[in-house]
Amino acid sequence: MTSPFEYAPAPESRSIVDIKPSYGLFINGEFVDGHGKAFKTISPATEEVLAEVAEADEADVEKAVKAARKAYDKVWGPMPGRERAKYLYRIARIIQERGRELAVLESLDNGKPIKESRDVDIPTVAAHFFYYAGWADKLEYSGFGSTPLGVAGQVIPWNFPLLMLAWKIAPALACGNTVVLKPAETTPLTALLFAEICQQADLPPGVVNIVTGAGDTGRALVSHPDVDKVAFTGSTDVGRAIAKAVAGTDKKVTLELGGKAANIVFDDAPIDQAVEGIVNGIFFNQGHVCCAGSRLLVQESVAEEVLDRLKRRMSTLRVGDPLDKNTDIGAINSAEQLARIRELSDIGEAEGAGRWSPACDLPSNGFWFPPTLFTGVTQAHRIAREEIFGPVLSVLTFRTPSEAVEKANNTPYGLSAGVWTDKGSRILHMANQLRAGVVWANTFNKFDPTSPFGGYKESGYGREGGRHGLEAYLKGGVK
Amino acid sequence: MSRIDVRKTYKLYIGGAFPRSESGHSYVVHDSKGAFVANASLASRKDARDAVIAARKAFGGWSARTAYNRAQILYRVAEVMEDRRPQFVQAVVQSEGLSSAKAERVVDEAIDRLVWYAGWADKITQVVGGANPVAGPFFNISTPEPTGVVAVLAPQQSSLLGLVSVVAPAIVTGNTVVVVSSYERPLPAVTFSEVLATSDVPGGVVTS
Repeated sequence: MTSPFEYAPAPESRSIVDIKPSYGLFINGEFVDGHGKAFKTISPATEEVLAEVAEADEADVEKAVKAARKAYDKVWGPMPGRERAKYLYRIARIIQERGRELAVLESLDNGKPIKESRDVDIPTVAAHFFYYAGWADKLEYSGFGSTPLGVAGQVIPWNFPLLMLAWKIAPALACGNTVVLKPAETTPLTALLFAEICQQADLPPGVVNIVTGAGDTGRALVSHPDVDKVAFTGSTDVGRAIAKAVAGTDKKVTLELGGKAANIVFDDAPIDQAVEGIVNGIFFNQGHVCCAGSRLLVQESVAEEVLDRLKRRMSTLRVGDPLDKNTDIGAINSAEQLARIRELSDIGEAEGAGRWSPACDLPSNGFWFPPTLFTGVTQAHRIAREEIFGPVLSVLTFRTPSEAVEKANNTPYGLSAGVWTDKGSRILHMANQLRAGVVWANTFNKFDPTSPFGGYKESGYGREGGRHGLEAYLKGGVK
Repeated sequence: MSRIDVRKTYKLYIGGAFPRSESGHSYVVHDSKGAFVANASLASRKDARDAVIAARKAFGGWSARTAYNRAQILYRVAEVMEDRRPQFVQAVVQSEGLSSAKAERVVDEAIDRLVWYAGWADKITQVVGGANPVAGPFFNISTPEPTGVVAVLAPQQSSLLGLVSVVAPAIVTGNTVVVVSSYERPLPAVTFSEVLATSDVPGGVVTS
């Protein structure tokens, strides 16, 4: 198919980043060998092996927690907030300085388009550290006291590897805690580069420890008796298991889990902007976004027009090489995730929804899924209820605002929602009625360090970002 | 033969430039022991008006910057000041007559205070503003806003730390300022304005 949107490839050079053949664990300020079974991390776009990464076993986790405890007792806990702040500012500055390198590495390891890692992920990471650096010496103004919890065990997902690291580490450190963080097994590389950044910033040893591995490593970390605080972002199933594992202990827990956000388009919305917002809502980061607008609720009177324009817009999306600056949709992060997306999409078709994707060539190597939408979806369909975590949009319609609220809230999740309308009063009314932690109006997927983020119901508890995000890491905060 | 040093001319700082007073007036500045140091520009009423005009002109752009951007710029001021720490220590010793050790503490405190205020840029709104739970079907929020051009009469004794302490909170929240620096001890203020001029602070945000 020839299209006026055929561009020549515009690849970002990967020479800016130097990937080592193998990586150890980062414990007490040094890279050390792990004692588990080392694993390989690949580029999901090509299946090329990028590096071999150590796996932390229980003894390694023990060492990391010990290092964190010692750093907490001797150095980081007693350090005045204004000095802690300076370390965090240093980290923020180094992230800015090495931004392009981090962006390329993130796109290689995760599969996301470089324009997203370069323009969204990494700048937001730096901003997050910069923002929480400023809190370190102002905790008495937070409303949550200024006493840290101790050692935080943090487990993060693969969809925004470095950004989720920032969401976890920046507030924890600002409040005076030390951390042991486990990145996802498919995307450990930027966390390990972050460890190097901690070294460049002369961060005292043990304040940040990075242990790589899969579920077993994570389990060892969250159930370690000397961990005071568990923070997790990921699937609701794993979140539930973590909540069970820490039940009956005095560990504080925050969980940021799945979502099935409704993106609600009213008939008075500016349709073109709404279509852009729908595309951004579900195809940003291949739909690997817990707050993705995966359910489109469109008012019946404009449904046909919105769908026509949406399909036309989807036909111009460019799927392919994550390092190409023109790419809109990159690779699915793993074979496992691709299988899950395929399975749920097939179920959608089998349950009677109408499946549509634009004609688009997918690379032969790597993990790919075309942007897809389903029409004629009902509330009972699994594709309307379960989180697909991929570039798959379920389209439903509604007639009245109260029907939209009813349908939007009819989900076990409650992380985010979107409202598209010209009427300010309707925005406020809908935001009030929707049981979602974040409601975007006439925009979608906007993130800022000052803005708290988190869910209702099975989307988890606790907030990350903003003044509210401090609560999870202070004794005066969440009990 | 020993080298003859090149002495600096201490001038005003208005709209990003360093002019002399339009009046042509200057006055003698002494160090803490009463020895001659420099002839500093003595600003006239007309200079003050020019400064206010420059500050007013800069207000729209400066207050419209994001809080994040203002925070980064203020932090940059701290970075550049740290870089020129020995110069500030010397200036404080000269004008306030402190020991080197004390002057170092004063300069460190001034730098740390800039960092402290830098962090307030994007936090003040959540701490002092918020949604007001009014008892009716209307929506009500409070948010702090910059007031505009602020005239700052800097402390007479504390020539650097005092100056930084009154300028930083005003500009980090989006105001622009016209500063009258310490009369007897104006030189650290001039050096501080050189830092502002090279730290991405737009011209006119601070005039003195």
